[in-house]
Amino acid sequence: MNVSIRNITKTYKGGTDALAGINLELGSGMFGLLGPNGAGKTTLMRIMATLLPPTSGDILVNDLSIHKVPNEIREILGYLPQNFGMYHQLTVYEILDYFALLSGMNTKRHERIQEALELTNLIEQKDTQSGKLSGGMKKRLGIAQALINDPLLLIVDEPTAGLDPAERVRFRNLLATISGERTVILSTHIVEDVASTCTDLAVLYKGRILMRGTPNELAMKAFGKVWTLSVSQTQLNQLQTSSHIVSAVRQGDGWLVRTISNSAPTEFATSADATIEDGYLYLVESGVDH
Amino acid sequence: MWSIARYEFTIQRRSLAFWLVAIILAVFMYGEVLQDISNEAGLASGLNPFLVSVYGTEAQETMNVTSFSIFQAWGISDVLGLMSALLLGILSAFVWQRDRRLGVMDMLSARPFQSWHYVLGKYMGVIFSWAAIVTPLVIIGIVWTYVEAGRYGLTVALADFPMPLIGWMLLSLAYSTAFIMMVSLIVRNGVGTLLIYFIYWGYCVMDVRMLRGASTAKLFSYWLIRSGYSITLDNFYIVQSRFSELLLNRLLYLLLTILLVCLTVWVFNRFRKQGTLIGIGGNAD
Repeated sequence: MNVSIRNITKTYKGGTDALAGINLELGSGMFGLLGPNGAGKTTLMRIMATLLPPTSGDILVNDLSIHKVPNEIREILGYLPQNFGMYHQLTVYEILDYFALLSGMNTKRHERIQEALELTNLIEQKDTQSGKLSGGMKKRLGIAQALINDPLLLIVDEPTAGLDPAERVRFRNLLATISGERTVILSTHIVEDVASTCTDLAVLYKGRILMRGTPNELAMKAFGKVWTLSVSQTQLNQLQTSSHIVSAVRQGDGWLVRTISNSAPTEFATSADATIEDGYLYLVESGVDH
Repeated sequence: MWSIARYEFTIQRRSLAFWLVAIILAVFMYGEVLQDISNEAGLASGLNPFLVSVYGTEAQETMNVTSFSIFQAWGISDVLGLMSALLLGILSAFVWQRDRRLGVMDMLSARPFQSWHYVLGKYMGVIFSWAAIVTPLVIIGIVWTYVEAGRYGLTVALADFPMPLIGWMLLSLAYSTAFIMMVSLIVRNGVGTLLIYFIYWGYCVMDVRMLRGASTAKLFSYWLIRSGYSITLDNFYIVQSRFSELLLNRLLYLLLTILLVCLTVWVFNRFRKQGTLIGIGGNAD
């Protein structure tokens, strides 16, 4: 499985540049697309899912152009959008059957629905109307519909947004389980999601790729730039204007602060190990290509 | 296409709007009959009391030159057709908007179906929904006609029913559905579509009932139907003598229906390619 994103740009009516020349080569496995809100992640996901035409550039999936043969791409594609709903009048089983039929599946449809229900742990809810499902179950139903045609390319856009911590962990594990030989593209602004599931990632910011690499390489971007120090309330206020504060925890009368800056903010600051979140924040704050 | 139609029909029949439309239509058509039965007042004129109340003495005048079953068949077709055409908008105007509002359209659009399969499936689903509401009412109407005919010693021919019910009512409803679904796809607002459709419907009904004009076809067919040869209120139920005009009128509506459905497929396909079908609010993230 090979996905080649070639110089994709997207400018919306009104002149908003959502993507400014994206180039990526992706293979099998989980790929994380990290970026803050407004970075252009959803636009890129929609273009990859054949829902939105790019202003320029092309995407090749196994050498097939999404511009020229969108329906052939759709046959091997599964897509879970960021915001989605279901027909609340239909049951879980009926919804999956509907999507299977729209995917052109006639034979072995029921076996495939059963597999998707088992994979997403929705067997007990198969006769429940989707309007009566919890938020976590709805997300699982969303991933079940994306998997119904056994896609080679699975695109999931902000799948854990709005889920409680336990459901989020469950969902991440589910994504890791189903990746296998597939290419799974996970778009998110939650660093933890990528850190715990992906071996390959890119950081998208203001429509440009800031960095491409492994989670460890992302963490290394902030190497030697992460500091911890104890400060008073007045010092904390000063620090907020001069450096980027990752966290501030109340400690007695003062604060224990974790901050990112190119040099030690005070002589009392001690260097700390950089995490993937530190690397991401450093990249986004500096906003330049690395 | 049929599976899309089947699921659209399932969604419709499990919705509140479907049952509201069914109840309103049933009460409108036969409420008065039930009232008369419960009052044991009988039916003085020997005709469907609603039709008599609508057409007044004109009904009796028509009866003098045509058969009871033809009068009843066209009456059921006309009243049920006009009223269900009005209420049908509620079932069909929100089909595209519902898919987009719910956020289903993004997932659907990433599926490898042909646009014409999808549009025709949705269209047939709405027609099935309408048929599920109207068929029982038509059967009640036919049974009622037999009961009434028996009371007054009149003859009833079943062959009088298919033309008004299929040729007239079904085709009119198929046209209205195609009209509403195309407008709602373009306007992208169910309420706005209903307003446009109600204005159109009002014009057509006024045309027939008040202005004594040239039927709803007047909007499109001045060039087709010559003045003086069209169906007016005076000869509306005496269709045997106006068969050729009726046939032309129906052919026109059949062509318009096909044209509107093709246009809807083309617009849907274009919107799909442009990416304007998707997104709940269509943010630029």
